[in-house]
Amino acid sequence: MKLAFTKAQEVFRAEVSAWLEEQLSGPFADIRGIASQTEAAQRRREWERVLGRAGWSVIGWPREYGGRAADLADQVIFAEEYARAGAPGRLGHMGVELAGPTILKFGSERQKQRFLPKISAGEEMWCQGYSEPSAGSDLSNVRTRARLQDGPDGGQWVIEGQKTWTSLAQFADWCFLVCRTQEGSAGREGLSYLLVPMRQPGIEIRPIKQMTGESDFNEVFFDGAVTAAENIVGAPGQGWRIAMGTLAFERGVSTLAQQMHFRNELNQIIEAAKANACAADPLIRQRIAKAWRGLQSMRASALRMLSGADSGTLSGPQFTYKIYWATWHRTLGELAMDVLGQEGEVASSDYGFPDLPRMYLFSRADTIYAGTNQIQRNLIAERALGLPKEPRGSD
Amino acid sequence: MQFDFTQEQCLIRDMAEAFARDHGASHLVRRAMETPLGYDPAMWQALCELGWTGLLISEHQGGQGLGPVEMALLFEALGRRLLPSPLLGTGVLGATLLANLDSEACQALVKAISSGQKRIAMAEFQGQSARFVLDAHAADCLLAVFDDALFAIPATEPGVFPELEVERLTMMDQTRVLSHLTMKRNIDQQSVRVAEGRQVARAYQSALNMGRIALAAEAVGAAQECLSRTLEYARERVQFGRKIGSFQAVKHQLADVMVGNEAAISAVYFAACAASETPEDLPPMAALAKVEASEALTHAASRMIQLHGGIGFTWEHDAHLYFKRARSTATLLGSNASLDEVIAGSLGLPAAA
Repeated sequence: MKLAFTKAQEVFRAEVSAWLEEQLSGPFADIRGIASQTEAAQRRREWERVLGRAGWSVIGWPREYGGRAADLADQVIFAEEYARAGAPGRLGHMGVELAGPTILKFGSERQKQRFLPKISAGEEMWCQGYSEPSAGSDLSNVRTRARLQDGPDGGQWVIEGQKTWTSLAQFADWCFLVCRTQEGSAGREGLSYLLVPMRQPGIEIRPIKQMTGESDFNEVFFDGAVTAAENIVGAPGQGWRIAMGTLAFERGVSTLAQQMHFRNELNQIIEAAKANACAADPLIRQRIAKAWRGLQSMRASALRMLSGADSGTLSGPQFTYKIYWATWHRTLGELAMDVLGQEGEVASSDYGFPDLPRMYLFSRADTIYAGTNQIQRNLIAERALGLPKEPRGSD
Repeated sequence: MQFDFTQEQCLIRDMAEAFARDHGASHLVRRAMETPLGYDPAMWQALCELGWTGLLISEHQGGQGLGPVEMALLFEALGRRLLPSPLLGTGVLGATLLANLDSEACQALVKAISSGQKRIAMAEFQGQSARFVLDAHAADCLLAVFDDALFAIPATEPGVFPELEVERLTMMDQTRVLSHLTMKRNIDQQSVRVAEGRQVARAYQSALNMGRIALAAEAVGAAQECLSRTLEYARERVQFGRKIGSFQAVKHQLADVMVGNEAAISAVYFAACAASETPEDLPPMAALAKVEASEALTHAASRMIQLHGGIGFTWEHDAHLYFKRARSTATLLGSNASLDEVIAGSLGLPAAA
């Protein structure tokens, strides 16, 4: 058991950090520190291409698809330095972290050749088509349908239905979509995993205005949208298994970058507490210490999770990580507001907020998206602790 | 960077778990905790023969030359069964305090710890007394910290010191024995002063911090045992024609226990690694481990009682032993609130008003 990095790894760290610093104090200084999903999208699209050209976009991927075949430690280092440098949130993250790894694992050779280089080069952005108005926590209740229509090259899929809570849809070139391809099927059976081009007449995107006043998510309507027959990952009917595989990629190295971001937020809170009288308040001090403990535990849990990643067995934090960070972050938001006091409640004339109050509001979503806390507890109880499954409704 | 156990560490864990299984059955723990000694001397003998009192002591001093991670593995296994022994006072507090001091007398004591010849208690005196001292009632030697000096006071027989009155306390947690110590007459300073100067305070703080990590490891062992026993019950107990573990009100409580336990396990081994790799971070890291583990155990043991219903409130069931262990873990070697203050200080927050 060892936390320290080797000398060679520290050299790599210095290389990463120097490159980021050069870019972010030079040509990309204007987008340094942007955490919002939607702000300065055009510039962040350019940033994705620069990352791709320099070979920093997907360092863990095989070289043939634009990666560096970097080992886990180097991926950890890159993620940490990326966040430490205040590099902007990745507009390409759905492709880089979810679509790409899924295609790498389950896709055909032809799909790999077609899609992966475009993702790693920062040329194509992706979004995720999972949730629907009637398929939230109960994801298998998907109703969006696709049927195969005859035509040249095997024909095409024709898609009807609605997805919701789709982040980055307005910037995406492609969507990975879970939909029903077997008529009359229900639940996990009869679902397929399609790759669908977003820029076509059969797709309409409507932003959802959320409680922060901003729109990070969208509704996406499919009305006769099409994709080529070959753009199915796996076989028809395997959609559920592949979709679950994608979700597993969500607990990867990017969690460490997320933590670096959390650390920046905690540091902002500490600075705010020092600037007003709060730093001397014993209750606030205890809560800051507790937040710091949570952050350290999360880092350790992430390292545990990643270190055991190759052993094939799921370690405890793989089950508990999501609910832990989401709940921790929500509590951090409450701490931030108690430190800021009424000053923190002041909005700009167009109802915008500085980072911490915005985080306070946004963190209410953390315990909902990617599996609500309620669902996480069910998953932990059933899969990790082996307790009986929830009864299913019969209609 | 590899935050996973090495093969050697897995072997140590397996050995420790086998030992705890052999000696830590509930009826043995209960029998031992009701004796004046508070632990089973045959078990202690066996533990010494395995060399575990010298786990943290270098090989050239007769120890095993292992580190905080191995220490944590051992204490996790012992803690799982609440196995009472004077190992914390002797092999962690005593060994760490003395290993950081270079006088001949200190080094001779280090060897006596390695070989299992001496049981040690460590006490910081305020004026003429030291309160809540761990394992002094059975110690062969008392390491007494007075301001800037360390005295190694030998016992004439275990727990008996001519200069000291030892008031053995019966504590809520009967798996640990604490005592109040009072000076009856002046010690012969010349003969028992073994170190002095600022190094004593530093060594004492190191010992406390290492002790906090050991306590934390014990607590995560105990917390996992609380969870697995409660799970066993939830899978068997039937009410309303269903296993109670199928009710969401029960499932979610158990899931929350696992969330807390996993965070604490991560924190404990993170702190143990840091203790050997970046000792300058030891104070906040030890605080992290102890508070996280103490809170996890308190939560796990509370849920254990609640989810067992009436049986969980009986003397016969072990739940209360874990619940009481959680209490003593929260207060021994520094309260959770005081340790959070250590963290607040390390984050650069100016001292509290």
